Amino acid sequence: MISDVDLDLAGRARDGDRDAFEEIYRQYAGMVYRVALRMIGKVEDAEEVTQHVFLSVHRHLRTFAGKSSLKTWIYRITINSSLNVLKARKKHMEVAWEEGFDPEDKRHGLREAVEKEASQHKINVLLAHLNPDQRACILLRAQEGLSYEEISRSLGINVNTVRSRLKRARETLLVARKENRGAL
Amino acid sequence: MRCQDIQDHVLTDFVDHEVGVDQKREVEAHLAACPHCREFFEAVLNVDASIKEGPLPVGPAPHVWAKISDQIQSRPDHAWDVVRGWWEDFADGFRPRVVYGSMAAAMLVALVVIVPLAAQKQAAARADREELLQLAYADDENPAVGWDSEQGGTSLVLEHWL
Repeated sequence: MISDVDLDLAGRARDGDRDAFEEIYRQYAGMVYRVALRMIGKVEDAEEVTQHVFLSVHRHLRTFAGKSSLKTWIYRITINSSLNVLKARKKHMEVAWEEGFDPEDKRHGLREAVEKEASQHKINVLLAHLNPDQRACILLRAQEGLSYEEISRSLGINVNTVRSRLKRARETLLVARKENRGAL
Repeated sequence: MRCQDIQDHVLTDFVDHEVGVDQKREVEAHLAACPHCREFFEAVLNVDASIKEGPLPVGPAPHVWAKISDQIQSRPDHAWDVVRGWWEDFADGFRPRVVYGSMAAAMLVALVVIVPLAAQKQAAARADREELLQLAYADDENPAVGWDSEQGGTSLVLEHWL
């Protein structure tokens, strides 16, 4: 169920309060962006998805009934938008992965930045072994820490489907790691 | 539980803390006693950790919010928003309902109107035929009615009607 804070924010943003909408963006943009980037693998596409998600949220706030949390609703729009981008590319398994590497990170030292880049690349290569549905499930569980019930609501699927997608995803990842002898 | 059952639990409910207390205890006892399953469990934990503990991507660049903000501000006035919202609701939610509703209605019409009509027509044809047969067998002496043997005896000929 939606929290009072979310309900208040959503209500004010719906009534045209731009500060409230900006607050929603500040709270959820990071989450939207990192899920989109892990789903799609390209920085520009992830930014485009982020933009699309928040324009969509703004447009549909009027229809947001508060049956689920604002977070779950935004996750759902994010996953759907990411899946649409992947469908448009028509090459689900061969995503042109890029690293979500920010040049500004160089301020923390080149070595750390390179290590971070390598680590991100490993994760992206690992995730590229999964189909988009499995990727969405494992990201929402392992990265975002959502429960099965929350994943079920975010993806609009039942809990048993969540369970079976997670099982397939982990089996695939185990095989991928084994085949790459620990390089992933 | 067999090793395969334990590993199925490990892959989902156990590793995701979605398992009941009794089942958890059972899996833990098995893992403590079975090195093969324990190794499997550690491999699953490693896979999850590589996703969970990897460096998370930084947030979107500042220009993303600037673009969103610009688009919101340049959008038409509220009245048009409402109309557009209705249209989008229709497109997103109601259109499938209208399509499915129309299909259901068409099937209902077929069931309520067409099927009884067809049945009625069939019944009328059957009644005609029965009446004809009754006429044929009612009076064997009636010269007006007889079987057309040349056509395999399958159709009646009512001579006085011809």
